[in-house]
Amino acid sequence: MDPRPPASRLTQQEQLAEQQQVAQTTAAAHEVGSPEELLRQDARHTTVPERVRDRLQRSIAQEPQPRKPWWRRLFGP
Amino acid sequence: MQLVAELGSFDARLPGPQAETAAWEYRGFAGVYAEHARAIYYLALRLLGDPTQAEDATHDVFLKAYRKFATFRGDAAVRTWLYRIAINHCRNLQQAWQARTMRSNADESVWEQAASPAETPLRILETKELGERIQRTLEALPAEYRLLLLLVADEHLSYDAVAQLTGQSADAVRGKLHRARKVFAAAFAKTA
Repeated sequence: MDPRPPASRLTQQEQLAEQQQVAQTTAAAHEVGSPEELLRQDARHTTVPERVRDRLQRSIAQEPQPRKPWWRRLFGP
Repeated sequence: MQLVAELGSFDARLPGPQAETAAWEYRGFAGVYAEHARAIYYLALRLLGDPTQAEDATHDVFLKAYRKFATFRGDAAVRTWLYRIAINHCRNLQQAWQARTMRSNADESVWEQAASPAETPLRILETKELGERIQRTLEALPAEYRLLLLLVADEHLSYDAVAQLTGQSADAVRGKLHRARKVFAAAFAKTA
């Protein structure tokens, strides 16, 4: 005689839900490949808006000109 | 890449656009931007979760780098150096936002602008959806895992460089990465 109580309907539902969750996680892991691959793919499809470059170029132009090294200041250009 | 600064000077007296170009090209900084801008923008985008903030951060990171470029000694690769500036900059921004308990909602149209302009509408939609899922997934991760995965995803960075940037040993990076991948996969599944 089996000492275990018969599985209730709720337990069966729980088991089914658990199996589905495992299957979903496995499918997701398969879908993802590796997070790094996914992030690389995402990064490849991301472009930096041109306006960032333009804005930076303008900001850099407003920066004070870096000092010439002493030998240039002393001996010319 | 030529890391040692060419010790010439640009002529700031040139008329507007020419002076801008001269300053931009000075010491090969235009090349530095061309090579690393996407990586820095992407890191900022995924750490901050807002394209407009990521644009500002990218601008600010490269401006800081330009100011310090003359003193950059080449102890680390330029990419690693830029990442360090970017990580600190983004952390400061996040701390400031948290202090104000503010979070701006990115305009939907701005997300579309983040996709490559040459792509088809369907591809843009897929890219946008993937980007949004990745963003939601990353936001569900502990900050340490988020940064770790973003850095390791950059094939230009060695584990040692990632370890340097995150202030831990390469072995610790490997151990945490294993857990971070699992957490990411589980969180990504929930975004479907």
